[in-house]
Amino acid sequence: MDKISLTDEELILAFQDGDRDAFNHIVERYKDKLTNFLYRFTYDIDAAQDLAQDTLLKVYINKDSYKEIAKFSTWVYTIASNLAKTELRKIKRRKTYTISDLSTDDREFVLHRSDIESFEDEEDTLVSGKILQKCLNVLDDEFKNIIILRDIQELSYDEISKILKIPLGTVKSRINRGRFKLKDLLKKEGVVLY
Amino acid sequence: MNCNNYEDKIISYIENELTDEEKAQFKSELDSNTDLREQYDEIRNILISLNKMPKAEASSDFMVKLNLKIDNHESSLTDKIGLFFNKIINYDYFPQLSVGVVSLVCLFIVTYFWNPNNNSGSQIMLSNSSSVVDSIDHEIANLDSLDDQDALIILDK
Repeated sequence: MDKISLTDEELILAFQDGDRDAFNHIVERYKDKLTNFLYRFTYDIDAAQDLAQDTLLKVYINKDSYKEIAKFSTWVYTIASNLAKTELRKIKRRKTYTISDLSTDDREFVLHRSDIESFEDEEDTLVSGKILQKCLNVLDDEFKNIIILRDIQELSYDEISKILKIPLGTVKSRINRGRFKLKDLLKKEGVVLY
Repeated sequence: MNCNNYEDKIISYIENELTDEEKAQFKSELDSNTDLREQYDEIRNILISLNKMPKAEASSDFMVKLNLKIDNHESSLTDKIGLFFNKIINYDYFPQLSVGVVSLVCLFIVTYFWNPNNNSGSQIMLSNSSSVVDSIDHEIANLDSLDDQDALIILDK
C-alpha cells in the first residue's frame, strides 16, 4: 500500500498493527516540524533535534496509548510540548547556576553566545529572526508556547486548546495578549514596526 | 473605541472572524483612524515576520540517531529481563526463590484442606457418614423383613 497517501491517524494505526515502515513515514513527516517547534523553545539546534528524537521515541514506545479520538498531531505536539517545558526548566536552572558563578567577562560571553550560534540569517522582513527569537525568549512561557504553536507552527485554536489543556476562549485571549506583549518587547528593542 | 476594543477588533479581523458588515466597518475605520491603523500594521508585521522566520530542519542523520535511541531502549529492556533470569539461573536468587515456592505450596495445602468453604475436604467426611447411615438403614430393613418367629430365634441366640 502507498503510505504517502495515508493520513497520520491511519499511519499510527498501521504501526500499532506492527507495520514498522508506517513509523518511518511518521518520522519523515514530523522530524522537521518538531525540530523547528522545539528550536523556538531551546534556541539550540542540537538540543532541539535531541528533543524531537525523544518525542518520536516516546511515540514509538507508547504507540498503543494513542486512541483514535484525538488527532495524531495533537498527541505528538503534547508530548513535544511537555518535553520542551522540562528542558526549559533545566536550561533556566543551569543558567542561573552558571551565570552567577562566572566573572563579568564570562557573563557577557554567555549572554551573547546564543546570537553567535544562531543559524538565522536576516530575512526580507521588517523584523529580523534574531530579534524576534530574542523577544520570544523573554516572553512568559504561557505566551511563548501559544505563539509558537499558533503563529509559527500554524496549528488551529482547537488543537492548541487540546495540547495545552485549556479552554478555547483562554487560547484566543492568551494569543491576543501574547502578540501585544511581543509587540511591546519589540518596541523596547527599538524595532519600528510600521 | 478604547485600546482593548482596538486589540480585539484587530485580532478578529486578522483571524477572519468578522462578519462582512463588521469587516467593512473595520476597513473604513482603518482609513480614518491613524491610531488604529498604526496598531493594525504593527501586529500584522509581527505575524508576517513570525511566519517568515527561517525554519530549523532536522539533520540528515536524524533517522540514524533516532534508530540508535530505539535500539538502546529495546536492548536495555531486553538486558533487564535477561539479567533477572540470569540471576535466577546463576542461583543468585535461589534461596529466596525456594523459600517463596515452599511457602506458596504450604499455603495452598492449608487453604485446600482447612477452608470451610472448600467442599473437597468435607465431601470425604460427608460421603463416609452417609455410607454409615445407609448400612444402618439396610439392617433395619432386613429386620423388618423377618417374621415374628425368626425374630424370636434371633433374640434367643
